[in-house]
Amino acid sequence: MSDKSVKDKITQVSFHGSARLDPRLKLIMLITLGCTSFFINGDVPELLLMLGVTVFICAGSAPGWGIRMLVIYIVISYLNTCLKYIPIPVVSLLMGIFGVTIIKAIPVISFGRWVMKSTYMDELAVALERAGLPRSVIIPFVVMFRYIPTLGIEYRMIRNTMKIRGVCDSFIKIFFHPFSTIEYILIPLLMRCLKVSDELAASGTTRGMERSNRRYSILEVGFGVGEYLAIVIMVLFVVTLFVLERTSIGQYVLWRQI
Amino acid sequence: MKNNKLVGKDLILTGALTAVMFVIYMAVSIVMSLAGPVTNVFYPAAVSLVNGIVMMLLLAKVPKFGALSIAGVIQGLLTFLVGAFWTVGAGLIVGALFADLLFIGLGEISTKKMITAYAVFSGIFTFGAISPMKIFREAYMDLTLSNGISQEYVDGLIKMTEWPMLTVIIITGFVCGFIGGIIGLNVLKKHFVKAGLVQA
Repeated sequence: MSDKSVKDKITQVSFHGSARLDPRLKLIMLITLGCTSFFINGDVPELLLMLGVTVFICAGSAPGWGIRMLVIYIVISYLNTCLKYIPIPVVSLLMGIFGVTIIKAIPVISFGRWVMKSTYMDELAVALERAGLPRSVIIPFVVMFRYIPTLGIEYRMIRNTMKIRGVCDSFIKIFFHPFSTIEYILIPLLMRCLKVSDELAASGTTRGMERSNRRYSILEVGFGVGEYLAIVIMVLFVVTLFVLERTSIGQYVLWRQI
Repeated sequence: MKNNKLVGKDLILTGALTAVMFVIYMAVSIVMSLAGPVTNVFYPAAVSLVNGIVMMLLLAKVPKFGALSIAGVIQGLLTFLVGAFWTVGAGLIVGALFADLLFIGLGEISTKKMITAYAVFSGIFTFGAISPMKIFREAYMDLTLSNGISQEYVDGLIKMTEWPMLTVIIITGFVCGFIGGIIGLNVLKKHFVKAGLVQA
């Protein structure tokens, strides 16, 4: 066993690369990604956007997740294009909307989940406080980020219990009793939510969440060289995508018109 | 002595319940927009109906000014992120602040005030979500078409949001908010008060 100092052990983190960027920058990138994905409408620029997101995520110690989302994106994009050129009467209408919504949402979802997984919550709280947000905005925000995975776990446990008891387990039962389904899932979920937030509040108060002093962090939180480099790359990337899609030079590059 | 400022415990509960509300919003809106343009215009009403339970629970546990505002503002900001039209998020934020200031900000809170505030909030949200299909029609339809959605869907949407139908949709928003509030209060009484999690 190598001889690590105490400071090394405390400041050891399990993410590397682009996951160590400032959390504020990651949030700004998420918002920019959302806006860009909303406005970009060609298939090649969207693919480039997804490739850019995947490269970024793979540089941030989550390569499996990035590659998986890229493969899903390519498969759905291919099916979408097939659907556009081969009209099937009813399926076209339904799957058209579904496909388009999913295609627009995949970059944002994959980047958002990566941000949630790769940010320590106390770093996020310190960064948001440095950005000047009041406490009544930071705490719900951080709790929300932290709570959504827990919601997934609780939901699965509740569904398992329902299957054991034979309540609303098959599709037919769900279809004929939608209100009962909502009641049997939502009420236990809300009761668990109350218990979890009571425990969270107790643990937070023990850790000094209520104090109005300034927070500090052992890990470095701030804008450095890496952050400015990431900003420059992001701006160049977004501008390139818009140029490719909107201007005639871009259309020429993409072989759409000569 | 009642403390009227939002404590850490209240903020944590608001954050957790807003997460639940946002997940419900996404699930319901995706399901309803799949089934066709007819149900697509009614999605804010359906979302308000289901979220009534969660919102009534929030207002019962945190009967202070600020709970509804924070929940609405965070949901509005999240809809900007996901990529809906900008009026949806704006409607959520404006509706939440308006309902909070008007009803919960003044005086003691009561069940009637909770229901009215939630009905107003969901009415303004419905207005924000559906009216761009009429008011900013060309911009909205251009955006939807260029996203690749088929022309029949867009025609169906245009047909659904002509003038008489539009007022029906907005009134449905208010009514569903009202019904959602009443259902929420009944569910609270039936389950949560009996379990002792909420004081009557």
